[in-house]
Amino acid sequence: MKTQIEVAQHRLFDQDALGADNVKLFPGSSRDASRELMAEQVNKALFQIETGDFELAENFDD
Amino acid sequence: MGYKKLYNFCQNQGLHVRRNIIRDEVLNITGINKVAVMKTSMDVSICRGFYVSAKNKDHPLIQQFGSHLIVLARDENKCWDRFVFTKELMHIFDNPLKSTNSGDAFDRLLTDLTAPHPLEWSPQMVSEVDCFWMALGVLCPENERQELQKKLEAGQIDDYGIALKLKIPKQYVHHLFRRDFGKIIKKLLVPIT
Repeated sequence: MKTQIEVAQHRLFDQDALGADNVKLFPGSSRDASRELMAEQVNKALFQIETGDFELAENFDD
Repeated sequence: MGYKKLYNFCQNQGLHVRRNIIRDEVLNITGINKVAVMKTSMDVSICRGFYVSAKNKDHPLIQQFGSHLIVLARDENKCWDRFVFTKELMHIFDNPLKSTNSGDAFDRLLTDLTAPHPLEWSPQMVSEVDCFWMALGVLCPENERQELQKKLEAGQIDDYGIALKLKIPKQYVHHLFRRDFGKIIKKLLVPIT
């Protein structure tokens, strides 16, 4: 079974996936966040995007 | 040089620098066509957002939204939304030497982000910290910062009041008034690799 980090690595960097050449993260408020939990959040977000469960923010109401 | 142009541009944007203006100027400076900003459900105690520069032109997401993606948490308040967006947007200016461009680099970045006191930061982590300061630099023009500092020292405003004016998270306000704030920003305006 792959770890969340391994899944994220494939999703982000595989040439037949996103083929990312840069990824950066904004950590959350918990000081107990682990590497696996952070990768899991990336995977969940990418899954939501791939399945259309997201909103596009094109015009910011500042 | 890209960040310096943005920083100078933002100095004339008043107290409350708007995201549309920042984004449009970044696109103007870099020549990038667009940055897609997507909101998904996210546990903000773990992660508040992320930036991806993706190069597989055959991928349907890239075909639809372009190569630059910023993912933010749904239901975040405006101050956090503004700050996380702006910090992630600053990564468009990343030096390629500080890019997270492999699984191994990503693995190391996760270690740096979650380690309580890392002995030595990876170049990727240095970029994370740099972009934090870069975001503060564009969301609070220097002349406004100096005025706010005078009011703060005179007891005419507190951190919460400043956060409301700038529309940034209150917990980051005190960073604006660190003694070395100017030095940090100056270094970012003339970056050394």
